[in-house]
Amino acid sequence: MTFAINIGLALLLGPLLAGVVRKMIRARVHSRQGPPIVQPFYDLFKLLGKEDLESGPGLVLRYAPMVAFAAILAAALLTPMGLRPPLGGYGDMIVFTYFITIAVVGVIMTGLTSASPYSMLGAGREIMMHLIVEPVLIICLVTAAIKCGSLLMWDMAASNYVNGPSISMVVAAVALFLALQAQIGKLPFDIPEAETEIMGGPFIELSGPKLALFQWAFFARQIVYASVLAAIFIPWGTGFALPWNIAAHLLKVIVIILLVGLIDVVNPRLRIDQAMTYFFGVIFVALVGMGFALIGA
Amino acid sequence: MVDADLLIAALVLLVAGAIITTVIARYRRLCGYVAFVTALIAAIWVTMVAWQALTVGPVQARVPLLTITELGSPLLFVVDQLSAVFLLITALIMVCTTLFSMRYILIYERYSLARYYPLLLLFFGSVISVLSVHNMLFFLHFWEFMTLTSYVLVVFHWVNPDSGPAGLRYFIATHVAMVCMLIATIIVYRQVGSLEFAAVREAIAELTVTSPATVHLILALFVVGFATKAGILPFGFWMPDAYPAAPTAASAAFVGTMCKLGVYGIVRFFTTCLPLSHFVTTWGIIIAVLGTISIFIGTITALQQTDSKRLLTFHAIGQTGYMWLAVGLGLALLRISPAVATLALLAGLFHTVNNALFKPLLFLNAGAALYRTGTRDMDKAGGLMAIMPVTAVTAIIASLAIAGIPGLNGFVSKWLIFQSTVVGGFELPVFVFLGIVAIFISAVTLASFLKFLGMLFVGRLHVSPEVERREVPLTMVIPQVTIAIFCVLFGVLPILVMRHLYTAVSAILPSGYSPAFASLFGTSPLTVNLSLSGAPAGAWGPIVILVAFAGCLALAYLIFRMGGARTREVPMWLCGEEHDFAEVRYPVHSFLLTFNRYFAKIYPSIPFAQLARPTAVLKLLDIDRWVYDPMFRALRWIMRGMSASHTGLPQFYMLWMIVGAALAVIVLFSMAGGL
Amino acid sequence: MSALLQMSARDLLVPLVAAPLIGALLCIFLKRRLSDFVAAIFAAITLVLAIGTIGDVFANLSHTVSVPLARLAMLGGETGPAPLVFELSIDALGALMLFIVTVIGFLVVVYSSAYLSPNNVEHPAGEAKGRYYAWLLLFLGAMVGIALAGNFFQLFIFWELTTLCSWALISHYQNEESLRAGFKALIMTAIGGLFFILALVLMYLSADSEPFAFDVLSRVAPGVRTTIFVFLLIAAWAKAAQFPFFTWLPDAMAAPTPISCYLHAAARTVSASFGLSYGVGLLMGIMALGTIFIVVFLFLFQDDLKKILALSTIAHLGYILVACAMGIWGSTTAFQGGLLHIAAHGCGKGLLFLSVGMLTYYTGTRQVSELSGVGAKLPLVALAFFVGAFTIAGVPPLAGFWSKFLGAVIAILLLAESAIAFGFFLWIGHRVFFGKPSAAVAQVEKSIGVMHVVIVLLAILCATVHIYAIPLAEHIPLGM
Repeated sequence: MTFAINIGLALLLGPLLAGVVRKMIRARVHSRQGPPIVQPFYDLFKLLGKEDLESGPGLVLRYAPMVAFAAILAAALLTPMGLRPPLGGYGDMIVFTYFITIAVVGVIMTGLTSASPYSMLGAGREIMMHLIVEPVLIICLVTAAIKCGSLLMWDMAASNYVNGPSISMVVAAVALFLALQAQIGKLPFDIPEAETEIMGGPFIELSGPKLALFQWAFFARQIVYASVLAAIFIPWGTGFALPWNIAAHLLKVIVIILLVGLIDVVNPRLRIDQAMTYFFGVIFVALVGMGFALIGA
Repeated sequence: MVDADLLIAALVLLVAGAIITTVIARYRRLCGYVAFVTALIAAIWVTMVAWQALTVGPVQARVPLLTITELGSPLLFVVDQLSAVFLLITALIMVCTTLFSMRYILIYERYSLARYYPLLLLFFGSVISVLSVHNMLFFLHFWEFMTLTSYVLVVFHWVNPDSGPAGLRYFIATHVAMVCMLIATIIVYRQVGSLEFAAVREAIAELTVTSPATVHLILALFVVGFATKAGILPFGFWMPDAYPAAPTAASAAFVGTMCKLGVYGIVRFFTTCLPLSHFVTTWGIIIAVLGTISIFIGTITALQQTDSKRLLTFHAIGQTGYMWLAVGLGLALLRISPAVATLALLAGLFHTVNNALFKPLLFLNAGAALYRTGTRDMDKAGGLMAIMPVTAVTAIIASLAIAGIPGLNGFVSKWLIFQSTVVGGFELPVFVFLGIVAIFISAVTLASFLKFLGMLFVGRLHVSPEVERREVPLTMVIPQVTIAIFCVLFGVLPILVMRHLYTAVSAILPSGYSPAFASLFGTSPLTVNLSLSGAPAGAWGPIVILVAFAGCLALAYLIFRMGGARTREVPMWLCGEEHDFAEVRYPVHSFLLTFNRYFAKIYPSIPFAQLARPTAVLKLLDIDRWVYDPMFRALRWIMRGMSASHTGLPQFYMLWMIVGAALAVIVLFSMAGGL
Repeated sequence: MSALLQMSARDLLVPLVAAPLIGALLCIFLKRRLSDFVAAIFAAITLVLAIGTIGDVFANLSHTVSVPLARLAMLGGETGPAPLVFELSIDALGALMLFIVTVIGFLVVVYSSAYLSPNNVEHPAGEAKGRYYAWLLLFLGAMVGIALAGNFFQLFIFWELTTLCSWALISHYQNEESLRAGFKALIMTAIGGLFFILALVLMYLSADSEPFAFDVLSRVAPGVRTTIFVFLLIAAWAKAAQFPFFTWLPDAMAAPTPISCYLHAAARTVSASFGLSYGVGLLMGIMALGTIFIVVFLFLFQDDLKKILALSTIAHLGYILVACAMGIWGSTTAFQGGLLHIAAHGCGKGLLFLSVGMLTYYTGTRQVSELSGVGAKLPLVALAFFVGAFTIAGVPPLAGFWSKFLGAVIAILLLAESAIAFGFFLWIGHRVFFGKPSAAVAQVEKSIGVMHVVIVLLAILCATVHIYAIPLAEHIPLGM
């Protein structure tokens, strides 16, 4: 059952919330009407039926999108979404981060295989962003692990709920939120794709179902990241009975996504070096949080 | 039932093989076959002995081969569980690299193979010997012999202007390191008068009480010695030059065996030769920090390379850093937490084993690319998957394994290392920070290998026109596939490997020290349920997760096919303009440029200082100039003066006679008491 | 051969000394090919006899075989019976030296037959071969005499004989440079020899009986003992080219073929030291260490290959002296290691000299700066050079490792020296043998000859000599 909940939430809630953000936030900020809330689904289905254009050699390019998509779903299966994650007993936070990484590998491989200068540029940026953003996630999760003495994600969530907030967890939550924008590829950090600049970067040669898979995977990724932040670092509601804990979790996720959407709309894109400087700062904040955890605060 | 005689037989066989290949070096192909068959048989024998040691218990030769009575040193071959682990790796690498060499080495047309196969076989022989002696004297002896053989392999390509300096640096650095270890050994020997590991342990136990500073000195010297060989920075500065200079198959052999002996040495020395004391903790931390420095600098620098083999070598430095981090952590916690110490040592060993698989594989991949394209520069060749698919797939497996992608072996060991740094951090917080560096660098590793893959293997084919467009020969494919299979196997069934490694770890620690395997890693045959002091700490069930992942993949495929989209091949889109691919190909050094700029100066290249001629000092030391020559001149001057009186005129001689006679008379009178 | 092995060492000692001397006498009258042949025959006979003798010594390693030959009635007088002045004896140390001396002697003789030829680019020569061989065999005989010497008196006689031979051989080419160098060598070592005589006189005056026996030092008053030993030491320093007498050896490289392997005579003298005060040992050790470091410094800035080898020889002789000093301080292991180094260094340095000899033979130059890429033209020479360098640096499986290990038990400082020196040798090797051939090298005409055979044999010896030498070294007692 939890399998279905996690997969379902990731696959369905992702595009839906994206639609909500577009309709309710972006369109409103732009002072326009905006598309219907389910527009992302329309786009996805349309793309799935479109012709699949291949410009590079087969194998890697053909399967990289599927691998990225599947990796995000697998990460979703490891993420606590109000309930004990379905695969929680078989993989811990390190496994989780590596599945996230596999998705990034899928993106980069696509870019590299396309071999267009734009896609290579995008792939390079994707790698650099990953290099600089992933440490934040890891440090924050390690902070949580130090607090609870286990690397299993559900243990972290439960422990944080039981023990209540602490300085280190708050700092970690802040750091993670500061990095969230980049982790899910939103402005001001959508540097690898940068539609207006390098025309989608790694995805420049993609069309049809491949592009659809990537887009869907990214919608799902938002939910996964938001869930990690919500479940582990903002654990209120975890202790409720069955339907309510999921509801509480959903509420937190929705709030986070809307916030992210708002930031996305009101910010211009940074250059990659500006982004890196910013994230060195965020990493420092995260390390401070971990330092607090190590001294027991 | 086998015993260590088989090991000795294998060594004799390798030496015999070396002699035969020297004799028949002229027949280049035959030479390869002989070397391969020799290596294969020797590897089988070594494997039998090692397996016996690992599963049943230590295997010991019945009598010493020879004894240096003066130094109390018998040459006795002993294979215990720890050695067995390393011997098994060596056996596999030995077979794979010699098989790979058969065709590969033929590209060096003008070089005599008498400088290749015999040295390679002797190299493996020395590695096996180092692993199976328990005596400091012979350990160092075979250790240095290994340096010698590998040095000759490094300078194999000696007309190349790069390989000479590389070999020079290599040998001098490692020789100095050996001298360090020799000094330490001698200090120990002075204490007990024996060089057996057990005696060394006693000696150090005495010294810990009487002279702690000496113990620190000994440990420092040994750590420097092992670090130099393992390529731990800053002592491994020779490595980025030396490994690429050797023929690739030999580089693979080095990285699979010799590089790992630094780890073996540390584990062996600190557990077998060192009593459990606060020294172990202190030096464990130092080892871990050194390892982390290597991880960071080595890998970041790798990211900046455009030469495939040099890139791999920097990664070898970084990866060895991981092993040192884990082993150092294990040693540091030996006195504090048996469970974490066991975990960390096991993690370090597992990473060593894994690294000894995928790292040589990567070198073989690069070698295959070099064989086909004739260049190591990733700017000049790329997209080789189109012509060599098998090599490319193994390269992808190896790259993902080294980057620690779940499902492959590299992940498991890295996962264990991270686990141990985090849980070790509860005891010694510094390890958490080291662990964070390790995790961050894990991502850098991934980046670097994506670059390696992206430039060299996947992507659009980009080779010079004369390159033959087909897969490398079968003898080069088989070793790559073999190792790749091991990478996957170890990744999917880690617990089986870990059981054996646990045997090795618990055997080198005091008996009853390590917690039982089941209490540490759970009882499930498929899932590693890590628990420390009873509480669960982490989990990795590769089969379950991979099945779930496969399910997700199937779902992705269903979605992909849902719309029934048709596929069509199109040319690359360059905003409507038409360019030749070579024109728009993204250059390697531009890739990740922004990131690399941040760390551009991290690996300073230190040129060999040109010694100025200290003229003044040389003059001072030229004793001829200011002692002997003046003395000689003075003597000659006196002689000249005396000869001046001999003018040739008879009158003068008459005068001298009269003066002389007068003097004689005076003397005689005075002696007689007269006057 | 088997018949020879049946004979006891006692019967072989006299012919062993006699053989090279007879050969030397014969060679004076011979020319060209014939002299090659005769010299080689006599060197071979010496070698075979030596092996026979050593075979017997091996049967009982701690036993000393000695054959008293002559007493000098003139020195008898009132104090006691006439002292023994000629006595051939062989023990473990003697066997160790004898083997090295005869093997290398034989190889050098064979090598010389090809080296002294009109084809030699550096010194085209083929004349006066008879004279050359006569001196060479005399040198060999003198060294055998030193190895077999049973007392100080005899040691001195042969000692001075080697001085004479060095002079003759160094001056062989009879040009300005070599005459000067030969004279210098003669003067400096002969002045050392004067101190030897003084030592002998003191021995004679202060001991009651057998004043020249090796154990005389234990029988004289401590004050005199120190004086005698210091005199002997000065003689040894001069002979072993230690500070401050080291300047003759680099110049002596004007000699046609390596004679340096023969300079270990000094060790024999010093090895007779025991029961001495620590102060003397300290003096000896410090002087030797000082020499080593001065020399290492000097050879870092040397361009002439043969001079580099000469300086390195000085350093290694210093090494042996340090080990002997350690022996005085009571370390048997260091002492034996040092003496073992006679074997290892003899072979390694011999090989280096012969390979450099071939290098000059083919290229006509021995300046490091003019040579590169020799390996492509002369691979075997390159191999020999590296084997030699590795041997003296103590890289296993070559012989040097063992002597270094034994010898370094105390003298850790030496390890630092050896690392520097070795690094330099390796650098020289790379500089000379690797890379693109230089002008001097490009014109080399390849040929395979007896010299190649010699260096291969010597290289094999480098890898195996310790198998023979270690058991011997282990049986050399501390002091005689």
